[in-house]
Amino acid sequence: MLNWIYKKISRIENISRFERIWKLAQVDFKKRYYNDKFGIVWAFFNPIIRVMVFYYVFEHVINRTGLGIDNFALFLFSALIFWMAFVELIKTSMKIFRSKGYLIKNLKVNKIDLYLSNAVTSLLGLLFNITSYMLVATLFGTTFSFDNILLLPLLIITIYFIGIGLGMYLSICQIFFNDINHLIDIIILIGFWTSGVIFPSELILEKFPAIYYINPFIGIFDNLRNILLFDNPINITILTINMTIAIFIYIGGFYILNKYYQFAFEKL
Amino acid sequence: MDRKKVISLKNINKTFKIKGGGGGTIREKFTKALRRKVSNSKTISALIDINIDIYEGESIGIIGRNGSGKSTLLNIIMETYSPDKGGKIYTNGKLIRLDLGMGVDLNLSARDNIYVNGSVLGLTFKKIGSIFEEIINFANLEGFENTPVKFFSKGMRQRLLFSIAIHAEADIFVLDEFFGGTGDLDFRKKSDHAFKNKILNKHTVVIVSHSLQIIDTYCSRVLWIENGECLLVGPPQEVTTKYKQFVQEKKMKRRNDAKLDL
Repeated sequence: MLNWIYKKISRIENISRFERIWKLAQVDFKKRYYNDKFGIVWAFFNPIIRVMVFYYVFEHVINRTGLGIDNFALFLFSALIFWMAFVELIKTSMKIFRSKGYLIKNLKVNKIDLYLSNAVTSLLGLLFNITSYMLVATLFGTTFSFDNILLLPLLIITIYFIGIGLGMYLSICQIFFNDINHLIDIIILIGFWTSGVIFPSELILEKFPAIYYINPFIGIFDNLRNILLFDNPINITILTINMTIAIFIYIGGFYILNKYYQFAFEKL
Repeated sequence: MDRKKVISLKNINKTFKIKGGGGGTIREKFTKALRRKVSNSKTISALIDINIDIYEGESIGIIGRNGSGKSTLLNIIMETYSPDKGGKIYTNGKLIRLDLGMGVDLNLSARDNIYVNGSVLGLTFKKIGSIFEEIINFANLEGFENTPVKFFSKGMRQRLLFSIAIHAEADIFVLDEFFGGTGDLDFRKKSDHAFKNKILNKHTVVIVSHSLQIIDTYCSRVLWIENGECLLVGPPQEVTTKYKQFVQEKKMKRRNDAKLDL
């Protein structure tokens, strides 16, 4: 399926660029999943097993339905898989100068292609997770409307624009500040607890109204749950605001990367 | 007839700031700012006012002693380093830099490395597919196409790299102490022949080497760099002869200084 989509796209223009991005993404994906025996099977079953464990813990061990939400495991996972993809995207982007240094040094590769291919690798993993989630959610009686599912790519694009933009920016920062990784870990942790991965957005609005308006992920996760859990129409205004923020973050990261990548490479 | 310029370097200066300990972490930068510590960084001029045009099909050699700025100049040509303000670089064509630690990912198979390198150089999958067997056969790696490169011997890796380079279809080859003769005797003969016919005779080549014999044999023009400055550009024989004299004089001077010290 993915090969089919890629073949269709690559006919449109600049075949070799699409192929380059695809190849770089494909080899990274292989490295990540094919290096062990269960590789791709593991990629598929890992999220399913996780949902099952969370379901069991929240429904039977803790014996509560988590903040008044019917199926807390699905509530959690409908956002968590996207949050994990976002974090992975940022962390792998931060390593690009080192992991792909041999291409930058010897072949004058287009830097943006390295970040895009990294995003495609992460997206392939996310697609596995979404499929696993939808299978499990269907088993629990969740329904999905076709119109809503069509809007899912817009939300994914929003997350990836933010991720690539921040990744470009942080990969440069990381060269200048060796200890930034510790700080990033803390920011990610704060982000996790303030993005509505675990709490419903109403709770954040009630307790921390400022965060509700600053953090785009709250709106993104609300809309994702509308599509993947509640089967409600998505909030277009929030989506538009989030996409605008994402585009600004991407442009900012792009600008920083272009301005400082040579300087960063010298430092490396 | 006007020759086509493929590389043009104008007013290229490059200075590096070497920090005297610390300053690489947020904590260090923060405490430094708080204490208003005077910076003890040193500035080193790696390249000083380099100007040169390189034309299509030309083989240009770059010589100079260790630390003279040769590798910095290559990094400027590859645009991995930026020149200081005012410097201008123009390159026209796909560049590939070949050195002994050249671009392969050890965790990938020979096949994947060929496809990654090929596609970064702008080849389509179709084109790479059509020359894939040729690359593998040339490198004598039949049967190892899907083996991760980390399991290759040093010789096998060099053969793979060389074969990718020979078939890469780059326009400009930047050779950093990298020449045809690699691997065992058979492969050395084959690679030497391919190096001359497929790279030197058909492409623009920038060669950095300490071997003056290679420079004399393969280059049509030589640039001599000393302490970041361009001392001489001209025909190989003329430049290498003066360079040899210079190195000899320096050696003599060092010896005499050492004797005086004793």
